[in-house]
Amino acid sequence: MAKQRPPWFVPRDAASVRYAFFLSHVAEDSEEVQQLASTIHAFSGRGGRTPLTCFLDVNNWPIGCENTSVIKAFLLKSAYCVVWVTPAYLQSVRGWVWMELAYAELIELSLNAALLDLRHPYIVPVFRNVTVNQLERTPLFDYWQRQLVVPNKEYPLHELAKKLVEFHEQEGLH
Amino acid sequence: MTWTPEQLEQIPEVYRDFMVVLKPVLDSKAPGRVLRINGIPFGMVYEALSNRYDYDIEQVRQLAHNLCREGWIEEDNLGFFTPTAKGEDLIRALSGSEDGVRKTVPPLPAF
Repeated sequence: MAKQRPPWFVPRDAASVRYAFFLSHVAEDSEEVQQLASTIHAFSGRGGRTPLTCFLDVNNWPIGCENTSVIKAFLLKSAYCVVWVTPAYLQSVRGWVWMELAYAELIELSLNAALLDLRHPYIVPVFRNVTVNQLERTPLFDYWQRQLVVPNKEYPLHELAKKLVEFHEQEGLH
Repeated sequence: MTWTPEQLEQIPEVYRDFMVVLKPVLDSKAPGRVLRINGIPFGMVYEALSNRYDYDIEQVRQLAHNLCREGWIEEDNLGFFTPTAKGEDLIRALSGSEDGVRKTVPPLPAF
């Protein structure tokens, strides 16, 4: 008999979404990702548009809350999860980014529940200076063919920010 | 290839569903699409079909193998699936696009 809903369904209330992107990254890339968030904010606000805001741990972390609760809550408050994959990301042993990816995957599965195809991508990977060989046997491997930009090609931050803003404008919130 | 609704119905549902899972590859080829999806990993196909049919990994692998053998899909060297040209035609037809589906009139029964 057909099943209609995946067993690990995560409901998300579209009205609670406050951030355009949850920027999942490791501390080693923090400076670059902060610049990305600023550039997204500046570019998306062009021509009087409402600027897009990103959830970034260094700026938005509620003090005193349990870490995993914050990650879950703010993933749900974000329209999309950008996974900033770098050599430092792959070498990190702290594990927070992998936890974020796992929660993000559940949200994506839930957004597409009852659909067969991926109509609502939630996870947006950005591969920076990593090869597919480095991703083998990691959960990120499945995202290699999901490309905002050509992997392994050098893109300046402002170009990546522009791509993300265009993606957000194209997809809208689902 | 032009499909008739009757021909589409002759394809077992699970194969039709498999092809629909690959639709994002087709959709993301549209000019101007920002996020390109160049292939669908086996895990995503398995997730979709096992939820709907309770198939195990081997059974979904067998479906993929059958579709590859008949030239509807291709599997790249990394294990990602993409529809072939005729597979894309089929997906368009299955997705309700009027292009590629030839409407037929019903036969008139004799009274």
